[in-house]
Amino acid sequence: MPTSTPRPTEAAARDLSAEPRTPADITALLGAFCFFLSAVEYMIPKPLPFMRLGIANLPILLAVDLLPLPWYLALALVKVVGMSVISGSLFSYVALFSLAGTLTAAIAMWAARKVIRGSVSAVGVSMLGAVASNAVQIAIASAVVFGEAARLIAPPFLATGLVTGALLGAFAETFAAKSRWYARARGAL
Amino acid sequence: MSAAGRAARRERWEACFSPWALALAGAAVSAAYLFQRSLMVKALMFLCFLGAALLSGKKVSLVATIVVSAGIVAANLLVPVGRVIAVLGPMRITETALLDGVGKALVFEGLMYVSKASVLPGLRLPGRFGALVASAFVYYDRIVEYKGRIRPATLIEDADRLMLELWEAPRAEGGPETSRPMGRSAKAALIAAVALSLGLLFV
Repeated sequence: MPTSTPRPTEAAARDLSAEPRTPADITALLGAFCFFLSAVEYMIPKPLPFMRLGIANLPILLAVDLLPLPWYLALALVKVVGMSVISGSLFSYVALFSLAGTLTAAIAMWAARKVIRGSVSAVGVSMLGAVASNAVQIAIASAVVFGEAARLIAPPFLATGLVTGALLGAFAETFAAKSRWYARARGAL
Repeated sequence: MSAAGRAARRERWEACFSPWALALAGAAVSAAYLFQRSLMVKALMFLCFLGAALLSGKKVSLVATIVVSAGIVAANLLVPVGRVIAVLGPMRITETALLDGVGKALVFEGLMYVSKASVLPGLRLPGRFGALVASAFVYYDRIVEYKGRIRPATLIEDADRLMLELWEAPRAEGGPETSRPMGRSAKAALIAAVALSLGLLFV
C-alpha cells in the first residue's frame, strides 16, 4: 500500500534526543507503528474484502495503559488520518468507516480498562473494542452502502471481530509483559 | 500498465499541484458528487475520477472496483423495492433496488478514486494535530528504513528491538510542507473541476 511516504522526512527531523519523552512523542511513535502494521495487514491475503485482522489497532490497545485520555484519542485520530493520507482514501467512505470504527473501539477499550478497573484483561478489552468497531461499521454500512442487507454480513463480521480481537489481545498482553520498550515508555510518563 | 509508467505519471502529477490546493479541490468535488442526484451524471463523474486517478499514478484496481460494486448492488437487490424487472432463480431484480445499488456503488468507488487523485503524500495538515501526524510520518519513514529483521518466530523480541531503536534515536518532528508553485493550467484545471462539479448539481 504505501508506495511513498509524505514529505516530512528524516532530514526535516530535529535532534531532540536530549529532551524528555512526552506523550506527544509516544503518540507519534505509536501512530507510526499503526501505519506500519496497516501496511503489513494490507499484504496479508483475505478471504473476503471486509475481513481484517485489525492488527493496526495493536498500538491503540497498548496505549490504553500508556497515554492520558486526550493523547490516547489523538493517537486514534492520527491513525485514521495518517492511514487515509497514505492510502489516498481521505475523502472516501473508507475514511468514514475507519474513523467511526477506530474511535468507537478506542473509547470502548478505554472505558473497559478504566471504568471496570482491573477486572478486564487485555484480551477482553481487545474483544470489546473489535466488536464495538465492527458493530458501528455495520451500522454505517447499512446507512450508506448496503441498506437492510447489512444485517446479513453482521454475524460473520462480528464473529471475525471476536476471534481477531482475542488473538490481538493475547499478543498485546504478552508484548506488554515482555517488552523493554513498553516498560521504559510507562516509566517515562 | 507498467510500474515505471505509473511512477512517472505520479511524479508528473505531484509536480503539477500544490498538496493543499489539490486536497481542497478534491474535498469540494467529493461534496458535490455526494449530493449529485442524477445517476447518469454520477456515472460520467465516476469515469472522470477514474481517469484522474489513473493520471495521478496511484494504484487503480478495476477488478477490485468491479467486485466491490457488484457486492454493493447485490446486497441492495436482496431487499426488493419497486417494479420487478427480472427474475434470476429465487431472486427478484427490482428497479428501485437496482438503481439504488448502482448509485451507492458509484458513490463508494467514485469517492475512492477522487480521493486517490486529490490526496498527495506531501499533504501537511495545519496546527498541533498536523505536527503530530507529521512526526508520526517521520517515525514511519524510520520503521520502513529499519535494517533489523522482524521474523514471525521471534516477533515480540524483534518488534521490541525496533521500538527501542526508535525510542533511542533523535526525537522526530515533521518539517513544514514543501510549497510548490502551481502553473496557470493546473490552477485552471482545479477551478474548472470544482465549478463543473458544483454546476452539475443544478442539471
